[in-house]
Order: sequence, then structure tokens, then C-alpha cells
Amino acid sequence: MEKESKEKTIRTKEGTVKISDEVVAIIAGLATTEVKGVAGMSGGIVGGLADFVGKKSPAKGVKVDVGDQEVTVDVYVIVEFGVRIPDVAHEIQRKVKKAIEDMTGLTVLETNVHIQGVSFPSEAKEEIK
Amino acid sequence: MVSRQSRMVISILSSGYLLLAVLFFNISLGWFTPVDHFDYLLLDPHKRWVLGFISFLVFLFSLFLLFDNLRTKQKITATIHQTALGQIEITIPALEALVCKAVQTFKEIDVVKPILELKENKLTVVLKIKVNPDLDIPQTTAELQHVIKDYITETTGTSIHTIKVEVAQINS
Repeated sequence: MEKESKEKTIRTKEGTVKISDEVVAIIAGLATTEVKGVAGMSGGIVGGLADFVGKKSPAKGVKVDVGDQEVTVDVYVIVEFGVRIPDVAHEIQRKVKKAIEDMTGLTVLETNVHIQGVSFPSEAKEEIK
Repeated sequence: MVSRQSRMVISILSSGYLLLAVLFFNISLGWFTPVDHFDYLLLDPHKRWVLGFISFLVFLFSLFLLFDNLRTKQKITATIHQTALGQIEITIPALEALVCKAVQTFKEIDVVKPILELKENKLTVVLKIKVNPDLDIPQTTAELQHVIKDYITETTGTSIHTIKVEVAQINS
């Protein structure tokens, strides 16, 4: 069953501009992966299977709900070991909001960050004690 | 929430049911070859074990799903806080990984499995551990609780309600 494609349409003097939800999700995904401390996006089983067959999506791990002029974003991330999670999450919220509002003109109502896991390097040398 | 193992078992069983459905549909249309093969399978005692083996597998998978469904499900998210820009949640598996990492700094301790529960936004950690012989257990476990509490609070912002440590085994 095909998912209904959703788009936001902006009417201008010269015509219309359509921005699909997928584009908003990609913007959010790219902004999130640029944040220091983010190891990657968590796409769940579907994302994992897509990776397995070689189909990578910049919108992986992102869900958007686009309204008339506003959008709510949920990002599912894996963070790097050793970072302070609230700081990373706050930076993600800030960057995603800025990226979407600057590029699309939409108002970001909420950016919800879901920390799905922690990525450990092969030898984590950080002192905890 | 369905566990990953349950999803895998459901996928395998569903594929099997799908094949059976296609088979029975074709039989209903008059294609009796599978029925003849099945009769042949039942007559040969050496080949009947195939049927027995498949039945045993289906029995095991079904039993697994039954028990997995009856098991008390653990909550999988731990809400940290609401900010002006939205909500921040950390899943229980992520917190478990951090707790295990904190325990690893104690060379004389191995954690069997941490159990984390969230109540009123405060975390309860239950640790079953294995320790080396000749360890000063009261002192080391007290230090362990202190380290875990400080580390989780600092790294995630999550408040700790209590940390219960059970020394389950001594490493031989």
C-alpha cells in the first residue's frame, strides 16, 4: 500500500511552491547529524532493512507532522559515548528549528528528541570515576 | 511493544502460514500433487521425521510467543524533561548501556543484567553482579552505587531513586 505523499503548498504571486514532508524530514535529519555528539540516526527495523539493501535515506530516524504554517519534528538518534545527553539534545532542537525555519519558512512548534541508544568506540578510554 | 525476537518469530510463522494458504488454495482449485507428496511422506518412516521436525519447530516458536506475550513488559522510554523547544526522551536500553559502562570501570565486577524501572520520572536500577573472590563487597558495592548515580545523573540528567545491588555469583 503506497503512503500518501504530503506536501505543503505556498501560493505566491507567480504560482505555487510545494514542499513535501520528505524534504522537511531531510532538512531535520541533516541538521541533526551535524550536531557534535550524534553518532547516527535510529531508523528502527525498517531503517535497518533499508540500510541492509543499500538504500540510505537522509530522512532516516525523522518523523515530521506538517500543518498549514507549522511543523512538529521527532528525531530518533544514537549518541556518542561520553557526551552530556541533555546538552546534545538541546543543540539538536536548536539546530533543527533553525534549519527548517530558515529553509522553508515553516514555524517549528516542537522538536522532540528520542535518544534510542549510545554508541561506544572499540576502546572507550574515558574515565567515569 | 513487541520485542525484536518476537517480531522475528512472527515473521517466520507468518511466512509459513502464507505458504500454507497458497498451497491450500491451489489444492482447492484441483492441484493435488502436494497431497500425493504428503501421503508419500507419511508412508515412509524415514521421511516422517521431516514432518515431526517442522511440527516441533512450530511448537517451539508458538510457545516462545506465548511466554513473551505473558511476560511483564518493561517501559522503554524515560522522559527527562520538557524544554522550550520540545521534549527530550532517553530510552531504557540507552540508560542500560550507560549503567553497564559505569560498572565496567570496576574490574572486579561483572554485571549480569541491569534492570531499570522508571517511576514518577525517577529511575530505579537493579543490578545483579558477579564479583571476584576476596573483594570487600560492602565497600565496593557502595562505591559502585555512588559512581552509577553520579554518572547517570551527570550524563543524562535523569534522577535516580534507588540502586539495588545483588551479588549473585562469585567468579571462580
